Amino acid sequence: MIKESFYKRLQNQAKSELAAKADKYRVVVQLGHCSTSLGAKEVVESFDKYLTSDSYLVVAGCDGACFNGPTVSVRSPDGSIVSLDNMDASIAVRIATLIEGNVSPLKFKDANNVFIDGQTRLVLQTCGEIDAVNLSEYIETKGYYGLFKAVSLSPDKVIDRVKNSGLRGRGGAYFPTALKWKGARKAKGVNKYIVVNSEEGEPGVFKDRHLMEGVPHKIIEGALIAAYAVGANNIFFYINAEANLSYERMNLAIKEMTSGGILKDGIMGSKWPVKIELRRGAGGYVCGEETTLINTMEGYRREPRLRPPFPTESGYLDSPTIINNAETLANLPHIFSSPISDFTAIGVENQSGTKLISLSGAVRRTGLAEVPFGTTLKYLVNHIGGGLPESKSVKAIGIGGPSSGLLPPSLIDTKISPGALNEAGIILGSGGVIVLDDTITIIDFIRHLAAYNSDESCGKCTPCREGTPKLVELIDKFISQKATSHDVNEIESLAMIIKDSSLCGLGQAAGTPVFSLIRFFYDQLLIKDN
Amino acid sequence: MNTISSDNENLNELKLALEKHFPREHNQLMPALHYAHHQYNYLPEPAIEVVARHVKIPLSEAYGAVTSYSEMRLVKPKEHLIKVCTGLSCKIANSDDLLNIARQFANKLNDVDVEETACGFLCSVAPAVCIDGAWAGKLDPINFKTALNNLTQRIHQS
Ligand SMILES: Cc1cc2nc3c(=O)[nH]c(=O)nc-3n(C[C@H](O)[C@H](O)[C@H](O)COP(=O)(O)O)c2cc1C
Ligand code: FES
Repeated sequence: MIKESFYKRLQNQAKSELAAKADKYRVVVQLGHCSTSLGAKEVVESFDKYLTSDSYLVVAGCDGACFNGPTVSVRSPDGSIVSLDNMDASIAVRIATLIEGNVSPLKFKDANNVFIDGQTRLVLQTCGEIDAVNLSEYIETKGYYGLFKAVSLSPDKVIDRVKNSGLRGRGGAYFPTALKWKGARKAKGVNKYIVVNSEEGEPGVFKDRHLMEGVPHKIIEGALIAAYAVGANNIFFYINAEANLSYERMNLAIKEMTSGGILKDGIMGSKWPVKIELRRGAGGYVCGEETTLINTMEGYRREPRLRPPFPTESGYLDSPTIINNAETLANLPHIFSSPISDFTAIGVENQSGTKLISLSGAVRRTGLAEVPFGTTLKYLVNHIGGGLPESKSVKAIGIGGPSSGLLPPSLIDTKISPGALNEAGIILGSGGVIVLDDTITIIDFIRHLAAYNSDESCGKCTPCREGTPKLVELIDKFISQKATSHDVNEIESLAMIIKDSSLCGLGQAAGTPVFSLIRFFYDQLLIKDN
Repeated sequence: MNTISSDNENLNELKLALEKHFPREHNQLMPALHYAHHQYNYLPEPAIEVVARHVKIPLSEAYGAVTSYSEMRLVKPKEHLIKVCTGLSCKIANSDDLLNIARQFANKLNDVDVEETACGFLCSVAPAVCIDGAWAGKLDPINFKTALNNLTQRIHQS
């Protein structure tokens, strides 16, 4: 039995560290990959230079409102907070001067935050508000309490709770998480492995980066819960080769977590020891596919393996291996620290909780948004995204990253959940949504995706290797207006063959754009014999 | 194919570093390759050989693995690299204009490469360009040209 005192001790440690700063101004700068590209690093440097001992600087990840970064917020000793958007380095000296003169920075106008307020933030809660890597700030916001609760249960009970939560994998396949865990728990093997899939090499998707940069401890906490439940002594964090800031923050957070004593006497005092290692990807969309990822980790070519055996039985070094997406794991702290009904009440039947949506394209507000499953695209596009600028209208909504299907505006009431979208032949995948306005030519968009899939095909299986470039050729026939109605049949049946006979999800989904083209935008195809 | 100069000394250093940091196991191939890549900014063939020997696999197998990963460079890159994202969000935000500007800029100089990339994961602040490892979002031709001018200055200073 884990003693209540274990977590109490962590809390006290955190409290005493933070107490020293309580009567100071707290200046938070959101520094992530996106805001860095807009000058946030210079903002941080400038605050570093100008802030005096009346205040302290916190470097957080981004809250997801990328469109108006860099964002700075200031909390006064009286607790009031003002948040400022579209900042540059010059804000630092202004704020520092106000603080020094004891004038409240609250005289600045608080940013209007429909983008954030319109969301349901479970995973993203505290993202952009707390120091990204500091352990005390995380614990102050109930961090590692879910883990503490989990290790107070037996591993089987942990899996039961995950089952009752209805959590499904957010990496794109929506496989029930508990079922996967149960498989690995039952599997025979001395060594078992947890692999956190943060490869995220999928164009148009930037959710895992936000999590690693803003709330790395949540992913770590989730991974530790998984390790305890499954009986794994090894955790790998597999991080995209180019996501340097993500890697840096994960690395620092792991160090904070270990030196803070979370693994003392095993995970949270459970006597269950665990070893943590970070690995980098080496480029390519298919690297994120789970069996390809195992090949990479073992030092083989970037190509998928045949399944079965599934990784849960025989994965890394032929041992039972759980591969979970970072977002999936980041849901666990909440599932264990709050009543389970808090989680199951959100979402739709068979799909509880929220989904992170990477929203880009023609909408006014672009960024990362967390919405309950079952939210309509209309709400996402028009409310959270703020709709399109005056003179523009929606031509299509592309959903699902490189295997995006296109939905016409008439279907904007469709709900964001794998089920509802599947009915329209569309795969939600990891939640990339791009809004296209009326200046876009649909067939060009489809060609772009087809060319990408063809480039990224690893070449191992014939249907994908030979079929995906052939799709591009056929699309080109439509673009050059040489296609006949025969070619419509041709392209559709080719897409079907690739879908049915490819080895991994890349090929299996590569036809989706073509299907949606024919289903929803047939009238826009220029066909010679029509 | 490029070879590195004064390779013997360099390679010996690499060999020692690998021995220090990486167990001699197959599963250390990628971490060791990453390490070597980081040292040279690409993978010269002799370095792949050292890595292969370290993890005890044939050079052919190591080479086969290397060529399947898009982030592993086999050719020595030029001194400066401009990556222009031509992914969907960026394309919609007129990244083609930025690509043209970058190409024209690089044509005039010997030590600048221009590459297209499928996504810089800055789709929410498109269009995005990366100059020598530093990404910039929401670029328009005017501030892109300013950034390129800064690069020219850096080139002249060095
Ligand atoms: C081409 C391709 C790319 C993928 N990329 C990723 C990825 O970057 N991250 C991820 O978590 N899952 C990715 N997946 C899904 C994984 O194979 C796997 O289903 C997932 O990591 C399981 O985690 P989950 O159950 O928590 O969703 C990809 C699948 C395919 C077919
Ligand atoms: S499309 Fe350019 S950053 Fe994603």
